[in-house]
Amino acid sequence: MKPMSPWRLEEYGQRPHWSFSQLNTFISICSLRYAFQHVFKAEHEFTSVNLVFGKAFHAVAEWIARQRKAGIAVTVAETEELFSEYWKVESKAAENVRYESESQKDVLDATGRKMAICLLESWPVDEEVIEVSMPFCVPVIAEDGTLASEKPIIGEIDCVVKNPRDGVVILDWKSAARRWPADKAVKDLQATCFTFAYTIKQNLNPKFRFDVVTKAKTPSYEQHCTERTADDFSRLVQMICVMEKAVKAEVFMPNMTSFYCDDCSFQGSCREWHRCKSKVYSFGKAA
Amino acid sequence: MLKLNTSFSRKVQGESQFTSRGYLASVELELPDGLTQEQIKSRIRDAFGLVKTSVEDEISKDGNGNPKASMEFASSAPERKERVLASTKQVKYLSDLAREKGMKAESLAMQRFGVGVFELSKKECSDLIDELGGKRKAA
Repeated sequence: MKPMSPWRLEEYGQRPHWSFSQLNTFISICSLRYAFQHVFKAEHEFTSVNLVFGKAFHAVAEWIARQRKAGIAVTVAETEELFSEYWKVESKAAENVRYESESQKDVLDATGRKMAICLLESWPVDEEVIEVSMPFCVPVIAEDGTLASEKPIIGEIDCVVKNPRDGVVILDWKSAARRWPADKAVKDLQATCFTFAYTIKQNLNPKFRFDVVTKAKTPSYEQHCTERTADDFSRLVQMICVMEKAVKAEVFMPNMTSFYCDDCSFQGSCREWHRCKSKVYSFGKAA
Repeated sequence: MLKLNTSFSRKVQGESQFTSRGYLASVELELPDGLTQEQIKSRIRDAFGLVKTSVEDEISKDGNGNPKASMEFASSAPERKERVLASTKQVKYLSDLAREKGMKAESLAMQRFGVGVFELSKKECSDLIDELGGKRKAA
């Protein structure tokens, strides 16, 4: 396998870029949230506890994968202990975390420990870990080979594994409040972005799998495997081109029915949005 | 002979928002035969304490969790001192130049340096621009 990236994600992030997170925010969550975050550079009013929890879970998943790659056996005790450590570190590092109750921190610690064990015990043992945390930065190439955008797509792949059933597979770890619908992975834009990047870099279009652990008293582990075609990539490129035009024209609208509203860290700015002229707002903050 | 593998890892907030740094220390020891269960447990505790302390020492070097020296595992990329990524302007200039000559900048970068066009350093990008007969006007 070719080395995926000679640079770190933070280095790529210093130049103008696209990312799955940006696309998802603009297309699936709320274009006004995208504007507050990426155009107006508004301050986050709080940090979502789900974001902090997801980071801690992700960190322990990454650690499990690194241990497996190094051939080091991992115990249940050290895995759950490590989750607690990450949870402490992440919740301390995050500013103004909004907890639902005083006990939520402890409840989430207990849940996260169980989820970490669930992942450790459920992850198929026949999977060979090829890479962990692979940053990428690829051009948005149209079908005719030309650059469709001056900005590249950047991101970081959680893990790449190889197994006897599917060959090379890109993995993405998710902690989810509930089980995923069967068709979620098929439609998911992250799978498209990441397989697009991997295909450009490695000249190989692999399968993509979400390894989802549910955030429950008794967590469950689910695999949602999917794949993408050249036509899906072509559609992605077209979506980026249209989004680029919309961002340039400042077409930002609140999505009043977004599932994300309760967790959105720009709720105050959103409430005030229609009372401000958007042009004035963007001139003031974007400079 | 018994083998003891122990490791400890921690993540702390990185230098910018939404980034983190990871620290990992790991040791492998051989334990002599004939140890009792309690003695084995004690050796494990000692080894774990050693790696945990080592990681925490590294993290606390500048006193607030932002590391100066690190055993960073966030990227397997080699150290690239004094290397800077090509600017967007440079990449665009190279891409336009390549297109004018009926070539693709991505393929050129891959052939010449084994990386994609957006992964070129400033110098690599300038070299390719020179090779295509362009002027070093983009910075």
